[in-house]
Amino acid sequence: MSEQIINIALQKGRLGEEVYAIFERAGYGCPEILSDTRKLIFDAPEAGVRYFWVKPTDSAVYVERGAADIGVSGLDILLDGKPDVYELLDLNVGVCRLAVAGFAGFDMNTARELRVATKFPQAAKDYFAGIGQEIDIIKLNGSIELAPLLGLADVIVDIVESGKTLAENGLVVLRDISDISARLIANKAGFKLKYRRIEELAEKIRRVTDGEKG
Amino acid sequence: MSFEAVLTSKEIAALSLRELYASAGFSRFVCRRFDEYSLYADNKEFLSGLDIITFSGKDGELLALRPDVTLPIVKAVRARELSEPIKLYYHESVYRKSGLSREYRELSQVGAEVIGVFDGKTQQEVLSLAFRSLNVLRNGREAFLDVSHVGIIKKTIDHAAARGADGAALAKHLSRKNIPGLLKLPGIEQNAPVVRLAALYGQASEVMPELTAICAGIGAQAEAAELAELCKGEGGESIRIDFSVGNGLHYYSGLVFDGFIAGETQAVLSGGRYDGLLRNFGYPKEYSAVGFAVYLDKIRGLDEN
Repeated sequence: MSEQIINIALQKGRLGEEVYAIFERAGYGCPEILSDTRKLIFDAPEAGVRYFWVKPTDSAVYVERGAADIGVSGLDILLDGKPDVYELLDLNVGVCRLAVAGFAGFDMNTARELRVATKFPQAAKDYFAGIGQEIDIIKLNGSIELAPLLGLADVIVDIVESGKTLAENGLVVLRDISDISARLIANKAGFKLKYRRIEELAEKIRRVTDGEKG
Repeated sequence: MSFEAVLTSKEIAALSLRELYASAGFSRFVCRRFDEYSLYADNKEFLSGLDIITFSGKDGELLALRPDVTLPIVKAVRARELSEPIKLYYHESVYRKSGLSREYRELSQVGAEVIGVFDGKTQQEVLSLAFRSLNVLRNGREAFLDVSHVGIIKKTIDHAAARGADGAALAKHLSRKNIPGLLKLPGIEQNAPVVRLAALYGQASEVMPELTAICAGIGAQAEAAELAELCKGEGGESIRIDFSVGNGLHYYSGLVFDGFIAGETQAVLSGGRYDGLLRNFGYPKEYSAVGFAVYLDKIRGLDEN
């Protein structure tokens, strides 16, 4: 059914632009999208897609609720929010890791409750529940590295890219939780309804990302 | 003024479904207002993580607002003498944390169940009834049923687990069609049965050759044949095969299905074969059960007038 437009939620910012470039190379270009405009919705009817820019943490919400058929979301968001969506592809961009960090030599195997500061409370709870450690979660929205420095928390659970921010604040990675990268996700009902077009899109994207790896 | 003039479209839909089930030979089951909490607590896995609202009865016993209707039916039918399969339908409120907002809500459910000693034909009848339920609700929109088979899922997961992958991770990735995730598990390669199963989606006629090939490699030929047969019934052209369907693997034992309508962002109907739950209630082992529920509150197309 060629009249079916695929609605795509992209993350605002550098990562979203990197992801759009992949879509463009896969044949789903929409030149207007990179122009200097405040518009949030961009139609590319000849490519059969419509893009919209959303806040990075919201893209999974748009997809889970079906306002977007597919979208791009970091695995950190997927681990933390556990949206009920399909995870079709690993786009291999925005590669980093989710890790426990703290002062070098800090012994996490304490008998007392560990105080953990993080932006990702659910992912942190799941990790520590998995290793059987009692924790007290401190939800912060930014500058997580500050928490151990001020004695607010024993350790932090955060995204680590190069480790530079940690090092500058005298912290190190104590444990890795998970590798993170941007994922192509799909609304379950939307996927089923437009599956031929979405499978075709996913296949074309996969060829682009595989080509870049090799 | 006619009755129709004062009914909402959701109420009309519920009554149309009741009429459909009654004319298919199902009789009405009415739940007790409250049940003992233990009924739900003892069968928690069947409810796959639903939270239950509890309160104390007059004598201090712990009662619950029902989160589900299948459990009270299975319990009530156990006490009856069955000479032939019993066919019941219901129209009840259930109380549960609804998936997306994670708040407690009262939800209206209509559904049908068959319990007894029966053969494949009964499953086919129930699947047809699910298909006709979608016809009542779709209002000119495209509708389809996605079917799966728990036997095939289990054998595929066992096959992969025997090569070192974690069973829970396999089940989770399969239900999310997460092929990159599957490929990161130990012993899983691109041509592994579980990866091929996750990638499979489409009408039975399109995907059956691939499914047959996958099932031959894991000793699930009989299950594949059963699924192929089921897809030949009424509405067969609207049936698709999808192994991301099939939550609550513990109690489901064969056919499982979800119903979708274009424009609705979640499954509006789901059901399957749940012989495993009967074992929990001490039914004789030749007994089977199959049924489905329609989630009227999830159908936004019914809110419009």
